[in-house]
Amino acid sequence: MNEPSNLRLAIWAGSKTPVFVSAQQRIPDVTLAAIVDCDGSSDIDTDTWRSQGVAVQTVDELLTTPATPFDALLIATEQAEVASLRRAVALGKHLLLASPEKWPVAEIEELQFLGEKRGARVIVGEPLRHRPSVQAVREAVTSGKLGKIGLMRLHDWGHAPSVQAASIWEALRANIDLACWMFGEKPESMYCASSQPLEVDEATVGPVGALQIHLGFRAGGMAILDCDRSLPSAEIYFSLSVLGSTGATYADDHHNRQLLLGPAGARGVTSGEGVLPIVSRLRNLFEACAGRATALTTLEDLRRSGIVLAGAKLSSEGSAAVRLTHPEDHYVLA
Amino acid sequence: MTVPRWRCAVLSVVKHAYVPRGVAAHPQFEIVVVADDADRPEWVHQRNQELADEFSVPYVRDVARALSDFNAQVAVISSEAERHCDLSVRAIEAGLHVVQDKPMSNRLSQCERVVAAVERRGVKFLLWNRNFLPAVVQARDLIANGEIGEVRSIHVDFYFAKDAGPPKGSRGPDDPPIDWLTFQIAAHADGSDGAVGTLPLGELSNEGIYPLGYIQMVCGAAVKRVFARTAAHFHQVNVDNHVEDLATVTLEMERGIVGSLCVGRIGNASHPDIGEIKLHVVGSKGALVASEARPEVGVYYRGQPEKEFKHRRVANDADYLLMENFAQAIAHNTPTVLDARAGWHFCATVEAALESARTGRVTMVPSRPSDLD
Repeated sequence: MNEPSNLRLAIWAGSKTPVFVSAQQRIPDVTLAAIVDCDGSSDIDTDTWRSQGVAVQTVDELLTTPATPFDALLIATEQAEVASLRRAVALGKHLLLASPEKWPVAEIEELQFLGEKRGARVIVGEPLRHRPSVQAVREAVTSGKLGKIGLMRLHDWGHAPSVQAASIWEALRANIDLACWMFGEKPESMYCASSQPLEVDEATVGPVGALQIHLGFRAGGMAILDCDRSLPSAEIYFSLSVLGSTGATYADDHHNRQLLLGPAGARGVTSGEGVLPIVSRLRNLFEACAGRATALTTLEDLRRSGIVLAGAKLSSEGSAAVRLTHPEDHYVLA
Repeated sequence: MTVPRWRCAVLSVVKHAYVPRGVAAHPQFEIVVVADDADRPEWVHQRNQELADEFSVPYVRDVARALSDFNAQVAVISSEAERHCDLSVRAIEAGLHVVQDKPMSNRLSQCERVVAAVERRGVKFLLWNRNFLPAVVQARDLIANGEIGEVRSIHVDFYFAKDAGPPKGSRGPDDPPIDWLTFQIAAHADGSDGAVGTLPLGELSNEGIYPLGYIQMVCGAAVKRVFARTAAHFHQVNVDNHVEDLATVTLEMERGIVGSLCVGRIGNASHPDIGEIKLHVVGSKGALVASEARPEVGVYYRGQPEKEFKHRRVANDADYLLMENFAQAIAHNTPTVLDARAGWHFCATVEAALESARTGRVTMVPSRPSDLD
């Protein structure tokens, strides 16, 4: 494997590129070499970057121009074509997928297989795992201070603009990953219910509204995940609690609200976690890329959440509980 | 204007003395007697006598005589859970209105007896509840005012941060299992008792009425289907008696509303106060997150006892409001905030949830008492 101590990074830019660039600048040993801006939609000031020696190119230019040396390509857009990703990996470039829920697990697996032959790593970063609040919860769980985990309760609320909305199933997959991460296994049973769907735009993939999944783990563990994208404004709300046999932990945006008394009246303002979740994600990606750390999310994690998600869809479609079969390792109606 | 005043007979008070105290907090209700059956064990008589002494009223070891000789119009019942409905029916048949402690019963058939008796005799029934806590009333009002539109989903966390004896796994190989009733009687001294009675009762059965009551008050939708998981996760007494101390329930309700309950007796160490008790409600125009404990005041000091709550609830007028609701119901023949049918529905929901937890399947909740079809 090519394990650079200094990483020259190219970012395939999307709508949140400025945040990724800002986060990247806080990580030592990483140099921004190029920005891929295929259609000018990445919301970045290209002139400024060019003046600082950063190439701003199309993906074809990046992958064919020897004058732009880089070691790793960070995919920060949902628009990247998998064919281009294959080309990058075939050139021995590390691939960092910032939002793995956008990609079928089979494609990521194929990219990893290709990468192993070409000395390139393909690394994914599950966003929720990198929130400082979630990491504090995880630390409490793994420390053993909470005892045996009995219940995980999650509310993940947001707003999905109808045109470019990712399916709520993608958001649910990240929630499922979190539950499996906390319990260290797939659930043995589950039931997925949804409230009546809100207006469904033709351009929307999947139902927009709310999904609730109820997971049953071995030895009595349980989780309820409430994933809702129907909030009318761009507000978000996140609440994660884990109850163990000897203690509990609560990470709740409700606790972390400041009071603003403005001309329109009083309102609560969330004390957010800023850019730190992205800094954490990028740092882990880079360190894994350099061989200095293991990736926080593995392909096996993605495979696992994918299987559970498929079970949730089966449960939702069948309006019935499902159970995990062994050794087939998939879910059937209970 | 003459304000009616109702004489109350307390029929057994082995569990929650706060119920008759709450009744007496309203000026229109007066405790005039405490009564129970003569064949009750001595510890029951002792607790009844203590309440009678507190109110300076007689304690009568004969329920029928108390009901006939003291001209009571209201019965207040806080007995062992398995006796709730029987005492209620006896009072109702004597023509009394009833305030009954939770849970309504551990058997749905007993709840059906109460519903039938209430409707036959035309009396009022109030299942004791927490619906008039300030935060719950505020949530109800915000939603009724249309602040979040039509309710689409509602979730309630109801965690009691109390211990219940030795932790799970603490029983030695030669130790006998913990006897439920013996444990509950002893635990009464420090307030850590759960459902007092001969029959063991899990936390969903014992406390489920509270979150179900919130849901009924906030969105008024009946539960149609449930999926549930239960576990004896924290306490040896629950393990030994095969009843849950942790439960989660998915609720599918009328009007397409979905919801969930998380209920548990999670242990003293798991929360600095009584426990995390919250409502999460999503509507068509917005959402609401409410903490049941608010408003509260923080009090911290050197030497503070470990078990003393550091955040004290204030402006809590729930007892008065509950009894005002009951007074209005009697005076104007209006429904109480949680009447017999609501109590029956909660018991039916809990039974369905326990069945779901046993089978691993989604379970239907019956929509009305079978005896009244």
